[in-house]
Amino acid sequence: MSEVCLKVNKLKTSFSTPYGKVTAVNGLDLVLHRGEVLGLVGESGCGKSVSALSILGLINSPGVIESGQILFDGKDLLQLNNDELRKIRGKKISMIFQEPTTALNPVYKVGDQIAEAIMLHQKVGYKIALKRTLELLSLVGITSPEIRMKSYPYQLSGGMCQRVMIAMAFSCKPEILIADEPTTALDVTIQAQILSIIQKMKEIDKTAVMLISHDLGIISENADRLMIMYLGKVMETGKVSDIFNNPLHPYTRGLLGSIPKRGTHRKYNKLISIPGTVPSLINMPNGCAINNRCQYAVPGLCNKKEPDLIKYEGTHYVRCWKYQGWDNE
Amino acid sequence: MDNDKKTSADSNRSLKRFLRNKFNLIGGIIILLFLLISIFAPVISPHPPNQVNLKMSLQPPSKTNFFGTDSLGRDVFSRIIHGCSASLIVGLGSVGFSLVVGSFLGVIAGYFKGSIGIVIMRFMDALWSFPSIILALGIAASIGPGIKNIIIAIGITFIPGFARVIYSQVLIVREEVYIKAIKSLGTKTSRLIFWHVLPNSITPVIVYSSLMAAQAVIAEAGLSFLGIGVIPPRAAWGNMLRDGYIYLGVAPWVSLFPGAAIFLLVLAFNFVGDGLRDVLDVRMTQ
Amino acid sequence: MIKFLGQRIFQMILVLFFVSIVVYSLIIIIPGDAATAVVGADASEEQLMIVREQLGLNEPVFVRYVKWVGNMLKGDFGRSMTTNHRVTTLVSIRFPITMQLTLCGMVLAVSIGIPLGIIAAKKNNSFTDMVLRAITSLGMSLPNFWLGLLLILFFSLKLGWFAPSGLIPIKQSFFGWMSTMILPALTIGTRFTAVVLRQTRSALLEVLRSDYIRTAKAKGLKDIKIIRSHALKNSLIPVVTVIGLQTGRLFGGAVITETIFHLPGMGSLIATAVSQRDYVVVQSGIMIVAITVLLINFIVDVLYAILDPRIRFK
Repeated sequence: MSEVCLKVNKLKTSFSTPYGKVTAVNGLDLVLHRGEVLGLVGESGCGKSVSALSILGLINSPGVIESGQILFDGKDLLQLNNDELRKIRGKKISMIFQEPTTALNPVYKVGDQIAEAIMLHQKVGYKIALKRTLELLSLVGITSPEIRMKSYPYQLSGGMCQRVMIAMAFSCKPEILIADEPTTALDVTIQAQILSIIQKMKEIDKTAVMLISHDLGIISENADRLMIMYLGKVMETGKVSDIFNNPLHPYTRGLLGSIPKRGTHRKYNKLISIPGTVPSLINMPNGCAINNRCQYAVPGLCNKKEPDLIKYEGTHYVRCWKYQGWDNE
Repeated sequence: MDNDKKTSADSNRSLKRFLRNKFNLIGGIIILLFLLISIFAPVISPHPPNQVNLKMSLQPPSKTNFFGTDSLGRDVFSRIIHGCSASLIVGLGSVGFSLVVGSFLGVIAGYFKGSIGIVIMRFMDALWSFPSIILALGIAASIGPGIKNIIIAIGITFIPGFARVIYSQVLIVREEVYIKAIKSLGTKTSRLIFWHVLPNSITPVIVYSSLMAAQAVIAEAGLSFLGIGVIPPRAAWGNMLRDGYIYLGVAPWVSLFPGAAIFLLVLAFNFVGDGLRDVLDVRMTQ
Repeated sequence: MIKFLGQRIFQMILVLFFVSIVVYSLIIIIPGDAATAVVGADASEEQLMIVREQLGLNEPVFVRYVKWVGNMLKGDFGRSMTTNHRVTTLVSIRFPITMQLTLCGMVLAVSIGIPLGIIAAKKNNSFTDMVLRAITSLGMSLPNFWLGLLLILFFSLKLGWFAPSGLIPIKQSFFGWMSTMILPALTIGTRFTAVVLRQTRSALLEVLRSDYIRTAKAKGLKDIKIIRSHALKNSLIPVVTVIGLQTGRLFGGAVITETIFHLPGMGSLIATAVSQRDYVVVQSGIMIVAITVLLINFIVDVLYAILDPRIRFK
């Protein structure tokens, strides 16, 4: 594949709570290539969003990035001070969020909020910034942008606000876009539109996209590669086609099983749900993170020792004892 | 059954959280202490509170008179001990009064949103637009001084606050599914309101009560200070401040110690109120 | 905006109507014969007649109420029962003094409370924040009559810096006015400052946790810029409300401060009238205070709408 633009090594982010320390991201390794879409999938609380916020240094106290490296542009972002980081945020790496309506400041016009980013990073005046804002707004498919840019966020629908967010995110032609559940809060009909806008904008600037979602359907249609996360760890990663054709991890199989397939008759395609619920990050199980919910778990092994993420074939990696010798399937 | 266990564990945890906060603990202890003092006032106080001794007028603090004496030679320490009950009775009494009336009005207004609700809440707005001390002054002027009347006067000024807190809560609760479910069973409206809606709206009121008790103590002392509160010679902290205020230059202890007592009690109620707010996780704009 | 103003004015008139009923009923709730309550039980029938006439007790309640409101609308608030001065004359002298006191208290609260609140929020959970929170708790609980006495004791009697009472008019000497106003302003403004500090802190903290602040950070804005242009405007909205409500309170709370410092303001006018059973002054005085408070609240609502577009356009 093409050149690497972001590399994350052994990232560990934790939060201190009154009930003890919670490690939300535990040793994450990640590589992002120029122009690709990487999907990050998992149930809520698995550390997808925290990973994304860690990359931009947006973890607020009581959260702390404990260790790891985030290599971008030849620099480790974790070693940069706030001022140096700011020059990257919004300019080289930008981000859009789950709730577009609350992600915009309610007391400013949306056009001004986009223009603010442009003025900041491109050192241009207000007039030029507004002109560029106008172009961006029509690029993301907002009709009559001259009027819309003078609206306040509450006057726009959720989908419209997300378009504004996308316009803002792409305003400085970033190298990376992190999209944290960009369509979760939106109507199903709007979801596809938003995703196709992201695809379109990404093509223009050859931006790498990190698409975070709990929805495997969205990922399968939009991502090139994907990572399945559970309790702060990557369980399986590889090309979308590899994982969908040959899911290895029992957890991945469970997730795939819970999407109704199109075209097949319901009767013959029973929905599988993963038994149990996600354990709390405070009482992390010993051994493999998912052993208590896994029907293949081997007592004495899976609940004692944690498997490593190992190569299955090519770019397909999995974290499961099943593929490390004990199972002669 | 399972549910019961959970709520008792919850309240247990709430209690623990409440006590873990040092401010709450201090506040609670101070209130308890003042309660005990007012109950056992005749036993604890070293002198009778109204014993006049003009030879001993305006004596500074000493071994016999811990906080000195006032212009009539009365022991300030003993009078503070005896004045405690007046502050507590008015503080708790007026909050109780406004709690009952305010909650009633708030629930009615919140449950019947229509014209009844509008009239009640606009009336509450009207009461609310009076600064409470001015309104209490006016009411006390009309119905006369005395503990019972101050409770009413201060209580009336607090009604709109309670009504508003309950009202906004009821507006939320009445839309809850379980209320609709009970309604669908054909329960009588009055039972529905007082048995199901009110108890589920009460949490913020608990916090508000504690904060308002602090305000009531200040208001009582203020009214007494202005001469229309507790009727002399009954000892009350506000009265004592008023008496001592003229002698501030020569005998500051006469007014400073009762003031400190008021401050302490108010602080205690505020501590408890803030603590409850954190524990019960209530958000209020006050 | 015009629609919004119209609605608010209509609402205010409605509330004023209720206010007038409340104030009017203050006379009605006087137990027994109000006239007897005024002049005492041993008064002659003639005296009683005069007082009944003054209080307008000879006609049915409704008629009296309508007359009273009608007179007020004409600007006639009656005459004092003790000095026979017009209430409007009394008020015209005293109103500015209370207003000065209130504004001084407000300036104090805004100029100290908001900056300290911002510092406390920025340094959330630090030592500075803890100290500020402790001071706030104390400030909220300090009864103003006691604070006033402490200030007089320390700054006037001990240090001799300021006069313990009285007022030098602002027209006569600005610095003289300042020196007589500073202790009363501190007395009336301390609690207010604490309230503003606390409100600013919590509002700013809440805003700083919000999604759009995260967006602003993700945009690469400087922290100072984020607070100044994104957080402050939003967090000031509830602060403005509190300032407005409290300013109204302050205007009424001035009673005690004015009494302590012997300032001839509205509060001491009403307090004196109460002790002299001068019901006309009590009634009109309270009515005027309530109208003032409502006007202040109205101004605050308009400010609120200017700050928050969501309200302006609704």
